[in-house]
Amino acid sequence: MSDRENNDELTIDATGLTHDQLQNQFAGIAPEAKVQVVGLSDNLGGVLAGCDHALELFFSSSLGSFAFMAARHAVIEVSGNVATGCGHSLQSGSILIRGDAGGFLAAYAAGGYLAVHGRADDYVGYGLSGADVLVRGKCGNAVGANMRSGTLVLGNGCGENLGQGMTGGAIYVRGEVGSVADNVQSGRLREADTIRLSLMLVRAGLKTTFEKFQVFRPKLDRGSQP
Amino acid sequence: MSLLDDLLLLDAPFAPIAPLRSSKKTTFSFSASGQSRPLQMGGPWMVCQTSPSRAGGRWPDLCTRLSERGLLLECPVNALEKLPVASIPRRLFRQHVGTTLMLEELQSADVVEITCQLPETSIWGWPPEIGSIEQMAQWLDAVKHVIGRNTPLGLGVNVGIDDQAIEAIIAWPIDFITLYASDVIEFLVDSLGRLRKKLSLLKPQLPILVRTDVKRIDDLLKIIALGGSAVTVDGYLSELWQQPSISAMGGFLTTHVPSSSTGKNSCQVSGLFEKLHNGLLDAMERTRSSTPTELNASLRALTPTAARLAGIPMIGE
Repeated sequence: MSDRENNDELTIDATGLTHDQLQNQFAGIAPEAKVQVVGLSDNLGGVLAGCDHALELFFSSSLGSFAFMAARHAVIEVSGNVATGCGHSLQSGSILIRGDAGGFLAAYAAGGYLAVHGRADDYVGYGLSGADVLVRGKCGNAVGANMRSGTLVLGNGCGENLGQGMTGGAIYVRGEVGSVADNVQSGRLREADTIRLSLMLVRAGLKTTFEKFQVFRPKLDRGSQP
Repeated sequence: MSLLDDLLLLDAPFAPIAPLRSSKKTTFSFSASGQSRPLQMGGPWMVCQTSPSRAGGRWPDLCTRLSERGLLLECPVNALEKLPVASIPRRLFRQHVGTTLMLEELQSADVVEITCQLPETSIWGWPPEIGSIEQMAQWLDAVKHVIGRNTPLGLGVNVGIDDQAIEAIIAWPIDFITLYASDVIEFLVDSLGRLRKKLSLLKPQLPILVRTDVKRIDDLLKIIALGGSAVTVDGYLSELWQQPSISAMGGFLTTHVPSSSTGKNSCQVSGLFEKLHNGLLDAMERTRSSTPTELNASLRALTPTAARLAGIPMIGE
């Protein structure tokens, strides 16, 4: 059931809805509309997987695993937590999670922006392939593992094996790092880094400055150097 | 010498001496009605490892023949862009685990296979982002939502898969299984036997597609008899790609005889499919089978090893 409220925001009561029924609710909504989704069970996996709606979506609950897999265009905000694999293969748009995130946040995400205000579990940005990801709270182990490109910003440190197997992209970290993988080196912030980092911090509404961050990149392959 | 040589399709008593092709239908409609997204194919053949560059000037003809026969072709969507609509076959897209989901490819495909092999290392396994095997069903459900409601989704697994993994797969929301056999026929015979046995109890309608390099028609038929719902014919067609196509010969003549060259290429491709199709019809007639699946009842082993691995009787039993 959906009904229009005074402030042009639609509300969908998702209590008891299956994934297909929920998708059907979105199908008829005009682009650019603001939609609040209430009553969604966190047992429901794959919420809005493959979503191609240019909508502003607000979820007032926590979400199950693999939410927003390969989503495009949507501007999403989640007031609760998200389980494993949120933003997997994200293509574009933005996702803001006000709670905590499970493991494999934004795994293989190819585009768009994903921010978490709480903590995140292991393997944040696993195989990241172009998206921008920011986690304000502490992250678990193996952040940026197998990362190919894109940007990870960690606002409160992380666990062991940062950047394990990463071959591209950059990880900016403020706070303590448990350990760094052998294939990763820490470096100085370049001008391009400061611009990129500042933009992401502003976008996330964080007031900290880029000077408190260090950057980690994959070590250059000697054979590829000129 | 392959283990398939130790298998035999036994003629039924009073089988026709001469082929009775004219009395049989010329196409097969294959549909697994038990699945939520039935996989439909015009016959038990598919082409999966033949690229436009490999097929050269014969690519359009190959696509046309596959389209006419309702057979599956694995290729990227841009490989079909320049073809007329009528020549576009049903397209299978293969998404490896451990990679970004390729949205355009997935959403435009007629059939999607999730191949449980990491492309960089070629190691077989579940997606790395699955914390536990229990999460795989949820992952597959999410992928189904990504690809669309009606596109069949299958799982590609190594032929050496163990019983525990088979049992797990059967419980997942998939519409077919693909077995990757390459040239390891012993494993294929064993896996097909075990898989069919498990499926017969739990999901008898779940199709099994088989990827193999097998080249001979007889061997392809034996794989179907073993329980393969469809099998790749890339090995069988490979002979054709080794011959230069008429248009690939280049030079002055190419620009002046396009219609005849196209016709010759077309005959070659069409002829191979006709031969394949007739081979299947003949086998069905000889064994009195009304569907390719029924060939299994006529399959006999010549050795105890083949009988044990394939789970079929020895000849004379």
